[in-house]
Amino acid sequence: MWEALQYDFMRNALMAGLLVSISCGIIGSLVVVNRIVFISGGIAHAAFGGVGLGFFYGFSPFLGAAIFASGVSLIMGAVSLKSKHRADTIIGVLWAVGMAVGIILIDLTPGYHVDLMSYLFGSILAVPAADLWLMLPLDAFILLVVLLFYKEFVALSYDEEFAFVVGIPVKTLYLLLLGMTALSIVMIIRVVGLILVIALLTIPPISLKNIPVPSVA
Amino acid sequence: MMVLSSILGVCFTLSGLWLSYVFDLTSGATIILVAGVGFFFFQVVDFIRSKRKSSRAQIQ
Repeated sequence: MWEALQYDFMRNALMAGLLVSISCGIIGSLVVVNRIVFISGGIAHAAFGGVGLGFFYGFSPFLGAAIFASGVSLIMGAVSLKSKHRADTIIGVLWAVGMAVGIILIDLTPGYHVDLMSYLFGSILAVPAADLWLMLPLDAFILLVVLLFYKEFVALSYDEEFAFVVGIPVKTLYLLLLGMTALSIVMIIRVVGLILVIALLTIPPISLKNIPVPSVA
Repeated sequence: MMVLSSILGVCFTLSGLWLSYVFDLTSGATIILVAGVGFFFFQVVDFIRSKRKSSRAQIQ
């Protein structure tokens, strides 16, 4: 078993799993507490549109996914803030349409695309070392933002009205949370694929729901 | 909770990767299956704990 570690793809996979788990734990806790799991699923599937954009216009599909996912997350966030009662319908629509856009764009791209499955189901064993150097600053950014605005995030998560009354910019914070979730999701897509993103985001925090810890951290 | 979730995520990912290596399975799905089993296990532990608490309350 330990002979697997002589392969650098295996070492990269372990490092990727480690880095992704850090952001999963942080963002996943916030996602579970704020009950935005459905939006996260929507972002994950809509991110596939960005993958298609990357293939079609010839740039990195992951960059495409990151930009598209961030954009979609802001739209979904704005919709869920403006009209709470129709938010989940619109999220469902963006979910499916984003995915469809990605598939059609990949259809229209000339050439054969083996990588499709790797975006849907993950390819942790194919993570190049360059991606690890992207994941590290992303993790650092998420860690920094959550550390800096920890009290504000806790206030937003547990009592939004109080947070608003006290002067915390709840709308901006909520959109920031969704943006970080989108970036985290793009990392997770690399590891377990977009279909299973929700599981890695939500299962670790919810498994610990009865551990007597006094706060989100 | 955030720190513990990260640690738990690392455990799931590493054991899922190891199992997918040993049994030659899709790595992502194995990780998620390990996470699911872990979640189920935690739920069972919570359930047993809450049963114990309620039975102790009744005795008093």
